[in-house]
Amino acid sequence: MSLILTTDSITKKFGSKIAVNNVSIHVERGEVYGLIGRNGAGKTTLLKMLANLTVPTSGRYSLIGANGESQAQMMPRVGVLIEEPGVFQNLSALQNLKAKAIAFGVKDEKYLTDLLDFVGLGYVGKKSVKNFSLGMKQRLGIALALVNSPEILLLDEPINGLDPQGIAEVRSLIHRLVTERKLTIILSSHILDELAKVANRYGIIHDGVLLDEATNEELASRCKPVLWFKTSDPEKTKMLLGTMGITQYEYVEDHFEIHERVDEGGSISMALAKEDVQTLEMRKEGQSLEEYYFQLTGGAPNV
Amino acid sequence: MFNVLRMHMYRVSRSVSTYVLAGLMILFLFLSFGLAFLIFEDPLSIGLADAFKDVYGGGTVSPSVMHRFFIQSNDAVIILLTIFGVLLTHSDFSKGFAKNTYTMFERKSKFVLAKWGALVSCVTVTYVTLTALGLGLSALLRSFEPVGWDEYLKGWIVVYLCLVSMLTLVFMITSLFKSPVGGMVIGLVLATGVFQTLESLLDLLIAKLSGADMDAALSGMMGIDTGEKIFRISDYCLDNVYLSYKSSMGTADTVRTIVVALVYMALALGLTMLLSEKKDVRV
Repeated sequence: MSLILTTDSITKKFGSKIAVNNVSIHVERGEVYGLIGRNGAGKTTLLKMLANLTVPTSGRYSLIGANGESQAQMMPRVGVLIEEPGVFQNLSALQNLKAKAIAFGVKDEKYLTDLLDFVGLGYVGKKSVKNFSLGMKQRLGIALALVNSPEILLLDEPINGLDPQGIAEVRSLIHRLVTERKLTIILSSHILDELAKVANRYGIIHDGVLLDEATNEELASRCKPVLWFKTSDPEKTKMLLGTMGITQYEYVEDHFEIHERVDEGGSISMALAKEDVQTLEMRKEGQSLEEYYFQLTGGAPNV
Repeated sequence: MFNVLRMHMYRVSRSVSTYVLAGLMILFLFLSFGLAFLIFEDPLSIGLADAFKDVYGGGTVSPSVMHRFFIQSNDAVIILLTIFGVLLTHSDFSKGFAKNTYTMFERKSKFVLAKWGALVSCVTVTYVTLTALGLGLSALLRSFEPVGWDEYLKGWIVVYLCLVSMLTLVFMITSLFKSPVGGMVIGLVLATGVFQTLESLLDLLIAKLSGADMDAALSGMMGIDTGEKIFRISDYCLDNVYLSYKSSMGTADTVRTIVVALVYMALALGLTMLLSEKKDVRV
């Protein structure tokens, strides 16, 4: 895969408040990049800068064409759904799509009706958008973002306020966009479980600072479960672990960290007891994405 | 950029408020015609025409006089065009639609120029329509005499430039403050001539401080040309040059009016384009 978007120490200040602080992200073509952060972390501001809505105070972003296209050529290939969908309430879904299509020089009206079908709004006809449910508006927002046949899609909290069915629909849409249309998606959310279901790379942002950037695999290795324990006799413990066939372990300072058979804490403890080795403390350490996020941000679980 | 202009034209054509404002504009034009009928035809024999002799000179009324009557001096035209201008400028921000399109160009000033182009296109269509309707209605008056077309054409262009210039001011205020209030206020102030009083007072103050002939200054304030050359700030204020312009004015005054309109237009548009590059889009 090749990079499609990078930011280079991009920063945005609002007065004395630094909303985004020297953030450098790297997004590869065809991936779903999940921007994780609590409300006010700087996700929306970062996406607004990428959508040319907010002017960076310093730093820059680069859109990289697969065939050497310039930034100016790449910009119209960005689709945007930031916060709530920007729609004219008195117009129908098709008329809203048509307005954007005219701006981007898209002349094929069938493409627009196909888009409505794609997002499951093919049935709405001339109904004004003001009569749409929140989920319908969100899907229309995604259709609007797709009008210009983007290569990269910026979705800011697309499941906010949706009911469980709406969330599932948007998730399914995102999957289809990636598999069927080969889009690159930058998706921000503070709902980690949902993000984990679709993203394959993450940027963890906190108080405007990018704390970590990792792929699913990198995160999995960082979040690998560990059996952590202290014993009264470390040397005897090492021998016992050897006889039990446990080789993937480390003795760190005063405790053991076992990386295999982490669910066998009970039997290890019993085996140690038989050898008159006391288990002083034992716990299983392992992190979900959420726990890893909390560890990084040092925050309470209230994202 | 032309596509963005077309997009604005499309959304304007789909907006109910456009048709409401157009309907009101035509209604006010017909009301003006009713007033013109009372003044120039005097069916009730109340001698209203005498009161307007200064405006049209008595006798028959020319296309220039009717143009001034129907469009230039018609507050409703400026007020309704202002409301339209504010709606066109502001609605894609207030509805959030603008955020769908800002990835089109790196330079935000292109959006400004395209939207201004759409505004000018709409103002032009309105102005041409009002002109045609105004002339058509004028032809119904017995006192209407279709003469002096060269003067009419000159006045038509000058009034058009001033209108576009004023709408560009409304556009600037609405764009920069991302609020409909400022633009509306500017439009109302321009239409009602509130600033004209302030400008006249400033003229008097400047005349006093510079030791100019106060009689000439006061005469100038009343619109009477004494031939005395006095610097008047109001001669360079857009609202004043628009409201006080007459197609019968000499070349120097006509050129000054055109230059003032163009300078205000260029400054307002240039400033909007320049600042748009530095400002965040609030949607």
